[in-house]
Amino acid sequence: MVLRDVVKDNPGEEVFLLGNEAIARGFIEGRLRFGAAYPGTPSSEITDTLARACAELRGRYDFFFEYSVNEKVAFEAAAGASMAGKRAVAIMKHVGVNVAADALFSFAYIGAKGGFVLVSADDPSAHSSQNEQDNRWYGKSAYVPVIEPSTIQEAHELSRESFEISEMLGLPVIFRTVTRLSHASGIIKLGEIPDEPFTKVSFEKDPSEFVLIPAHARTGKIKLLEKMEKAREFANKSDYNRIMEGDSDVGILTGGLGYVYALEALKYLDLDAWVMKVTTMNPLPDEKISDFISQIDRLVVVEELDPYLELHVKAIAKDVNPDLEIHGKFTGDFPMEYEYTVDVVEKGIASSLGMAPKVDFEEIRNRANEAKKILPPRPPILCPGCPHTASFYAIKQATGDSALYPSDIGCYTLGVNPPLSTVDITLCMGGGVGTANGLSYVVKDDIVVTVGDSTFFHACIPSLIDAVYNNNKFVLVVLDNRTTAMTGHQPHPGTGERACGEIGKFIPIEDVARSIGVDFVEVVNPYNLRKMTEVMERALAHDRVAVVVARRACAILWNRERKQKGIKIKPFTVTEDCTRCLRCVTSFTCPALVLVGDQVTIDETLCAGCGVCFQVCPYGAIVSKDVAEKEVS
Amino acid sequence: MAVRAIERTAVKDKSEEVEEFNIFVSGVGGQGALTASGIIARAAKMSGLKILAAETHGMAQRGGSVSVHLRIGSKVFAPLIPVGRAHVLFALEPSEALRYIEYVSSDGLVVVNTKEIVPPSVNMGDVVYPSIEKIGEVLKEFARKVILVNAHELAVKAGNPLTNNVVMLGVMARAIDLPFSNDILKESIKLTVPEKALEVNMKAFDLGYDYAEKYMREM
Repeated sequence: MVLRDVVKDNPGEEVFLLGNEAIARGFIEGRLRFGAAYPGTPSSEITDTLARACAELRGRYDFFFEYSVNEKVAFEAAAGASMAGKRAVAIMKHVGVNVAADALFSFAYIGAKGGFVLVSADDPSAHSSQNEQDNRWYGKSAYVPVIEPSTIQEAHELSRESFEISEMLGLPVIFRTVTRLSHASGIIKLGEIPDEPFTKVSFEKDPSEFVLIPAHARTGKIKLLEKMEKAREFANKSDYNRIMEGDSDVGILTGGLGYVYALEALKYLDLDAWVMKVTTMNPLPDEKISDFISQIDRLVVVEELDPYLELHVKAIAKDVNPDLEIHGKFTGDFPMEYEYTVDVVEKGIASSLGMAPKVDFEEIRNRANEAKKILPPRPPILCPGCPHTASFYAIKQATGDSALYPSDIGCYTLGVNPPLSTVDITLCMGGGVGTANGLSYVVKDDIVVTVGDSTFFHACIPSLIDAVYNNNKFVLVVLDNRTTAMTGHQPHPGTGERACGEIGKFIPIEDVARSIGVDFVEVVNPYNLRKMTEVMERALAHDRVAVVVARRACAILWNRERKQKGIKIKPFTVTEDCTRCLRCVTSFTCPALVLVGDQVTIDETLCAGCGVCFQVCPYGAIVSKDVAEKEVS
Repeated sequence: MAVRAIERTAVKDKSEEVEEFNIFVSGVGGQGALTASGIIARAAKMSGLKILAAETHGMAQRGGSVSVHLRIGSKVFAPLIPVGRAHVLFALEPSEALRYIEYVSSDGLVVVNTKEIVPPSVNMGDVVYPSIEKIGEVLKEFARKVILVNAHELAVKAGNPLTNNVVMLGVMARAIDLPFSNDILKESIKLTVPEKALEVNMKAFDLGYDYAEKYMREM
């Protein structure tokens, strides 16, 4: 990450930034005063950047930023700052908005005082997610404006302008990005870093606005509808929604990344079509769309995921141009699922217009898929030395592998893969403990739930209280690797660190469990397999809910720490005592254990030196390289 | 400071004519695919060219298959390279070349490091890792020009196995007409790698370049 460029105070300079860094920079240029987030791919680099910039700019341009325990808390914190008149953002991945939705729907009634932006980072193709929901609908159902950029430059501009839009309308604004925009890099032109000092304010009380008792909610709804009408007028005037004239009877209605894919597809197809790019996804620029579709006979709608624009344009066309031929997902020209690519869009436009794409993508893909049949898969896996691998192995030893394993969202979800196969259910953040409550009533087997440390704080505490209160029986293993690993190692209450490097209060997971009333709580280092297995056996024998905290720092952090301190990693090696039983690779697993022919070897460059495989080997054939060399000499 | 000075004096002659040039970079985590991509992107920016890059993060990142779409030129708008339209498939590992083979244009170039990194899926015994000969054959069915190089060996010869990515940059620079000059590419390497590793990286680049020179003469 190039923080140097993100915080650079050199307006006009062109820098090469990641989409998420450009968005963070835009918020700073837009005079952000408070940000709150729960990390989630693909949003994480926005928050990582703001966290680091916050510390870097301290004293020059002051703003506050916190990692909140979950998205609802983040949203509410940002809403609080906005109610007091300060510009605020809440940043989360698409599914995080579901968690924050309760606050979102009602905050729309109250409205924003200081500019308020909710960043929803959607993940078409579910690259790092449990679903690929399309959050444009949230704007529609919560009566909140949604803006969606198409390029990195536009993301930078719009994140800067979004506070103004929010304040002008008196409404929270949803800023929607997607994986391929957040994780693409391009060149942006830097704006100014503001230099106004931060001052605390007195809150201006007004219960008729801020207290949503039913009477106020009813008047609030009327005000909200009036504001949305203003937003509609803004959408129709805004240059962010624009029509590019063409020389044919064909028009393309598009937005988000669909726009850039459409531009390229038109280039390859050599088509001079009319193009309308929509940036305000809610409210839609209905008058502009009406003008646009009056000019053409055939319309192709290019948008990722749900047929959102398509559905709306059908309604608009009914009055304006009932004979308009509308192509999109409903006509089968475009797929309903997964992210778009240039070839998907080129094929879709071609098929809508009865043409053939310039390249036979289908043929290439089919031929490639055939050729790839000889390829060994390289799915995501747990890292060498990952403490989760040790925990899963010990859990299986203790249960005799006959238990049911609900789990949760994090690196450890990868325990689903063989040979570990210790993840049977993953629903949503906190869903592991949640589902275990119901399962404990109806399932015969022992239940062992695994959740991460950050996930524990995020949404597991209410369901754990539910388990204690209702006498539900299962074992909860908190895989405490001292960080939010999957999203890039953000801190959380169980680490005691805070976003901008300040010291916070350390909240031990075991103390939380005990205070809730869990009467079996143990902390164990999973690298000690025998100990962890023994603790698990006792936990399984306990007659109510039991909590085991498997505490060991993420191997990536451990490696980083050793590198900083100049400590050499001591790898392990396989000796001649190896009987080729293959237990280490077929019931345990580690990327550093490599099978060459029928012989297991250890890749020294990958080995983290955790020594867990040493405990797995029944023949003592895996030893520390130091020991092996001493014995030889 | 150094960056800015170079940017001002950048050779801009090629920027006018470059409409679209796509490089697909693939490899396994830790091989330097992201660094190689950064070097290419920087060289493009130094040459005054428009550049877009798309990479993989998060869950998709754990476990090693790394892919970066690099798109250079004035007529490029989307972050992803279309199927069949990469001018170069730049692969730091043989199976990772085959994994993304649909991206390379039939007129395109594949440069591939032949040093295998066997994925743990092979450990389970259900799948085998194909031979380099077999992979090379398949690659040739998709692209006009395929250059196989043991970049690991050349990197070791240069003085550091970690320079395999820079060896590959040298191979690519000789094997195809890039939208920026080799001097700018080398300048970009200089600005990217740590100062103490400069010499070994320059040597790695030259070894790759010379290898491609010889390879192409023999073809």
